[in-house]
Amino acid sequence: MKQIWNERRSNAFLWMELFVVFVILWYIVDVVYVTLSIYNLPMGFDIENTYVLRFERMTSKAAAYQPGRTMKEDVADLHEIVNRLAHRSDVEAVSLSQNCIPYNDGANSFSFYLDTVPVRSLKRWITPEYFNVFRYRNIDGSGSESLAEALTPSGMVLSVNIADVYQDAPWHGKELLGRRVPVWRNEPEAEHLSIAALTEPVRYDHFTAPDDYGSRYAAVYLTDEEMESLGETVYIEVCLRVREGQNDGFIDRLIVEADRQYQVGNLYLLDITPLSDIRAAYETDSVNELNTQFCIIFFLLLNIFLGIIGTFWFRTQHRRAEIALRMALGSTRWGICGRLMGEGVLLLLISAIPAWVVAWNLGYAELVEVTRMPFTAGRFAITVLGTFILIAGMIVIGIGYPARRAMSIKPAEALHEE
Amino acid sequence: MKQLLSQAFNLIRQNPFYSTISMIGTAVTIAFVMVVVMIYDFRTMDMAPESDRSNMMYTGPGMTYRKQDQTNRNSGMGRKAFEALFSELPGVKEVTWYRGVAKTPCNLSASNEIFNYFVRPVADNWFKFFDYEFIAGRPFTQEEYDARRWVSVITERMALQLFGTTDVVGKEYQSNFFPTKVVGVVKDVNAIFQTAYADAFVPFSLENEDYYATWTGGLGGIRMGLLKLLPDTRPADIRTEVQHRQDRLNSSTAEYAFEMNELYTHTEYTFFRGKDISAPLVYSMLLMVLLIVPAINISGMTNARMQERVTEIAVRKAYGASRISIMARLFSENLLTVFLGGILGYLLSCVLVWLGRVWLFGSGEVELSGISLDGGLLLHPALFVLVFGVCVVFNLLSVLIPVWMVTHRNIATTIKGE
Repeated sequence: MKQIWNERRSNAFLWMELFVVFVILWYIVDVVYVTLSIYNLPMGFDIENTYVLRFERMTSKAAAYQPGRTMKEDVADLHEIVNRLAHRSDVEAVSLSQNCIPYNDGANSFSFYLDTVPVRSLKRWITPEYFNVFRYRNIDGSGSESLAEALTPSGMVLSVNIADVYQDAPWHGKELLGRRVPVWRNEPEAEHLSIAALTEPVRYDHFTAPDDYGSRYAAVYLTDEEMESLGETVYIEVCLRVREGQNDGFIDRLIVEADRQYQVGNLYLLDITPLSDIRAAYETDSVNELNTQFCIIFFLLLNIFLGIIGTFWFRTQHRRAEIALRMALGSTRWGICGRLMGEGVLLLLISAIPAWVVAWNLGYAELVEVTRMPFTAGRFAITVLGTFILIAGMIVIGIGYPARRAMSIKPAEALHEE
Repeated sequence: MKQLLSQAFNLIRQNPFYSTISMIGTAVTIAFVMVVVMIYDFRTMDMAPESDRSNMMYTGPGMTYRKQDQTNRNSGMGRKAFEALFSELPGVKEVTWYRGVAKTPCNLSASNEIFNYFVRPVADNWFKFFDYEFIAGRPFTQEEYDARRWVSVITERMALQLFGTTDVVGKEYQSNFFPTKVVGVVKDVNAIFQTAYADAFVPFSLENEDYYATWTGGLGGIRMGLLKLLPDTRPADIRTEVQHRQDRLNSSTAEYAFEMNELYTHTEYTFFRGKDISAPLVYSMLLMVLLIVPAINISGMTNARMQERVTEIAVRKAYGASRISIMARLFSENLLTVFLGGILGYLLSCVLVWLGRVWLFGSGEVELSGISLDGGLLLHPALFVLVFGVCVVFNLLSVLIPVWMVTHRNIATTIKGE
């Protein structure tokens, strides 16, 4: 300790650097911590082995075009195609939906009333098989089939957390089951739907917090009439799940048969995309942001490393005489090494304490990210500890090489030089 | 001068470790700084085809809603609203409109091989608004646009892939199974230009624009607008005038109202769109962090290094050298290392930007594999000058305090030995 004070002039730079870097690094570690904690929360659904297909109406210039077909017939043709898909030996489930595939770049909204409280959420405008395609889970543990049975033109399925943010609502969670509520308008003549089933919460993507708007939904039956009113079949999403173990080469197998099997009336297969591609496209921006943050962390740690290794190199060089003396007087080589390491870590500790104060104040003043996760003592403790360990690691590695040189000093030679 | 140079080289040779660390530290810092600068630069500088980015403004999505109860909200701007708000605006040189790129299946009529290209519907003056380089043919004419003919302007890459040659003016291919005639071929557009980018351009008049207006009182639609301001006009003036026009539009007795909520400048559109964050501010802060932390680093190391030269400096002072001249000398010795580190850093930054191009520049909307950074974008002359400038500033920052401290020491105490 005394030695640190004696060398305070040259330690001042190191101390300042450690302090500044600690605060900046902590800020970024905090952001990364929030993002990663949220990333790993359960999604509530599964997109493995799933695909979304779109079927478009041929133009009048195409050879196979049949003039005079109505939208009603187009929708019937679409059902025929879906039927054929569902009967494939390698397909497990097929569903239709409008603007609500997982990770979709856009969403419909929905609102209904619990007593007098309006509840707004995402709208999953789907046919019942959707739950089987994406393996939503009923809160009673029965999986997805019970959800498919529950969804009817008069019964909707909600996520169990749909009313959680509405403190005034008379019922929350499980209490919602079985109730009949007005939809869109709170009037006796308005359309009413009953809450037929509840599912585990479903997050929009890996970066959405569980209490965000994107983590609540209401699933409503997509009727044929509603599909016909869309005007074009290309707006209807056909989602399917391939059976376990049969996913390899599925797209190729399907496209080979597309001309014969899946071209009905005026409809043809426009494209087929695995949901994993859609997820990648949607999450690209958030992933890039995370990567950028990792880069900044790497940059800061690299600078610490360079600074420490540089400063301690010169230190060991200057103190050759002193080190040699210590060794001559009985200190072991590892003792020398330990002393150096200890000096570095102690310096870190001294600069860390004011850094903790600054960090705490930043968090308290909510200058950190608080929209997705509140700033709790636990979060503070973990992030501060994490930052400390990262920097301490750099210090240990940075002192390592100079310390090895120090350990190999031959006392007689060094003292002789002096 | 020559003596200074040779002395500087000597210094480097005599202190390989310090010089290496110093150079690596400088190179890494300059690399990161340059990457940040390059990203900002590529996306905001005036570069063909977006040669007027600094004068451009982008319209937001716009919203239509039913006046009486604020329901039936739909996003999207139609022709009627566009013309009411944006035609003949004072201070605006040119106005154009477009739609987002759509992945479209294209093929030659005789062939079954389908390629997916990004096709963008654009207004008739699109090719006057932007600076495309035509290698064959011409843009579509007013007559072709108004008559809604299936013509297109395609890029070199698409021509080569589809036809095998760029001499394709007048030839036909199928775009979404519609026979389309090529009227012009342009040089490839880098995907960094998010608005000007596409594989093929077709007339906007082919879009069934008015269909989207039917459920929004004629106001809704699919137009995305661009304004090119005259050099003296300020964005704030345009926003005010558009607001006036909007109020006038909505004051009629029509059932629906239109709201153009956002008008972005190019920088606002490119970074943090919609969020209340100032891009220049964030980037400046980022640059400060990237520069200050390593500067403290190198200061510390330089300080440690200066200890060894204390005697030499004291002797110089004793022989009459002024403080300023000694400081200048120490600066310039260090300058060589920093300079070499800067060159290394610039090369490293080009490598980093090229390796990370998809991550740094890609977004969910455009084809990620279409981003190629050829020499033109990377070796921009202005960037060279910037590297020099940053090197000098960096040198000054890092060496200032230690050098000041060292030259202000009392000669006598120094020579006596500290």
